[in-house]
Amino acid sequence: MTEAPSLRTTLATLSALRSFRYLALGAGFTAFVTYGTGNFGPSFLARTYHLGSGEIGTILGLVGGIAGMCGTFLGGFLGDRFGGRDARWYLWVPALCLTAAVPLRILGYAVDDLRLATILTGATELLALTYLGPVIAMSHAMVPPAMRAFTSSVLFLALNLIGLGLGPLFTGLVSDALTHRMGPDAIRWAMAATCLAGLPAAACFYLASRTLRQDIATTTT
Amino acid sequence: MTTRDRRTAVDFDPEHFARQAASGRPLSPTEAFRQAYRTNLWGGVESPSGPGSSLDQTAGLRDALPDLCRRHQVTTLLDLPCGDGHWMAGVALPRIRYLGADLLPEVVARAAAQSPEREFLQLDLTTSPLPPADILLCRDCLVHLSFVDIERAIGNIHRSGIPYLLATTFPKEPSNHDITTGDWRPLNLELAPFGFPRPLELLSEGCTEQGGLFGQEPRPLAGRGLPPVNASPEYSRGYLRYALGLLVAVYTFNFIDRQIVVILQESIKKGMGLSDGQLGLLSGFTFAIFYVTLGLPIARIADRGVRRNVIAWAVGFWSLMTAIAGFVQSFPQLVAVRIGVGIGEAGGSPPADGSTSSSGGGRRSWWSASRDWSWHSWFGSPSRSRAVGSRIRAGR
Repeated sequence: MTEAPSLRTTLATLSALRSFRYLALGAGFTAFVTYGTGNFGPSFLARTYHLGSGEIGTILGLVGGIAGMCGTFLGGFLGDRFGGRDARWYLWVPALCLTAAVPLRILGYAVDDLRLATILTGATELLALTYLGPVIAMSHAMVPPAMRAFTSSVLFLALNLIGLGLGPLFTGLVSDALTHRMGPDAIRWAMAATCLAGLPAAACFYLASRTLRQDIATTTT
Repeated sequence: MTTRDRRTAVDFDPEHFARQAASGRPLSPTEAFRQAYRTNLWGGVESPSGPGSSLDQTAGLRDALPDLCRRHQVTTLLDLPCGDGHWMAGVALPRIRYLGADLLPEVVARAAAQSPEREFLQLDLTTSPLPPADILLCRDCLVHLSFVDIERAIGNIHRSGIPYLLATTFPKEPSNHDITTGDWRPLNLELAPFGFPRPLELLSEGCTEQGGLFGQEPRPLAGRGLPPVNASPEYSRGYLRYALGLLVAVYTFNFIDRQIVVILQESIKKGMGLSDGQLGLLSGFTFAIFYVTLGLPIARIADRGVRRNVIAWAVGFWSLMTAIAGFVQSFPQLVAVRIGVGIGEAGGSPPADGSTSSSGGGRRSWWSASRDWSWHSWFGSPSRSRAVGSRIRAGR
């Protein structure tokens, strides 16, 4: 049996890959938006639309679940569709989707119509999750097979630390800062502020795409 | 040298069936091997089984096989696939019952015509119940099969209870990749996705064909006699389903207990008079820090210890912490308890993921499971690196 490459070797390999550094950071920013807004989704619906837990659960479960599932699938599908010709499309697709998601999401929090808000945020959930498949696939393409499991864990480490660690905290702090002026509306604008992190996320994926082909070629030869 | 280089260095077209499948006419294994035989795809001069079945190529194996059978007290040898029996016809196997079998009936008929004193059968390695035997010679076969077909073949061999497998391997090949059944690539059975243990014996084979590209240093015997028996039990289908169902339930609670603060946060906010910042700290930061940082060390413990126990302790601990969260009186207490949930959950999901790694390919879990079951020793060959034996054990 061959041993898996050591932790040190794997970390050295990963940190030398410019595209991977941007991919991990981009995944972190994306998760910052999804967790930062997602964890306050129930609060938003309760405070803005005065819904009970049953309705909140239905809306978030159905919309979030279905849209997330479709988005994850769509990202992989579009990536494969265009990425066959040029691997950079795997990252351009999520970069475009994330950019498009920013104004849609802000609009979703700004409108005063529950149905419209649900459709808009559902659409952005869909767009926001197109990154997952391509980012995992591309980070795996950059490393030898024996490093792939660990590469995933490094990716999810960045994603969880930046996204889950800081996203909800940021939204909460902004909401607190706005509360004395806006009252219950503070949460809407705090979530809108959080979703601006979609822009650096898209930028990271674009920057990662610039060195992607070299990084894949270096590892596979 | 990469595997691709090796493949392009062989004398035949190693991607014939992949291209055929890509052109929209995929062939079944039977059709593929029939076409290979009819068209002499592998370019054998002596036999359509290919150059690897020439008398020259099999000289080492023909010399070593009778002795190997004697040493391991083999009384029945099953040769699957036997092909047209070209080289085996000249091997004297005293006091050994030889059973030849192949996928293609017309090829079996040729072999039977050549060696009328021997028994031949038509068998599909991947599906047919195999007759009782002491050793299965499976030479130059798996190298022509896709991973899916190899998986089926190994499962079938395992079910047969035949204790030794002598199969082709390339011990110095750095990795394995998938092909369309009928094509060819070298395989190193000790590596993923097979993970066979070190062979019990390695039989050297000549390497004159294909320009000696596969020439490797002969390796000493991996071990005399049989290594300690792996006592892993064989699990029934029902048990595996039960285990999977249990893991799904554990993971569902893992997710719910992670989300419960988010679900209830409006009530928690009102009840405890918390700010949104404190909510964010609670649902995100405190959980993430421990969940993320402790996942790796706990995964390492889980890999060394008994996964089942680690999962049991983890799910017990985080459930207890989640329950206690219902009784806390202050924000710091809630934070402390949620950190506990994070630690418990960090211990729960990596071992539950276990070998079903998202990245190693979905097959991995199956292969490692198969490794745990049964393959506890085998012999293989270094130089041309074919012919590997394995003692398959059907649990104790």
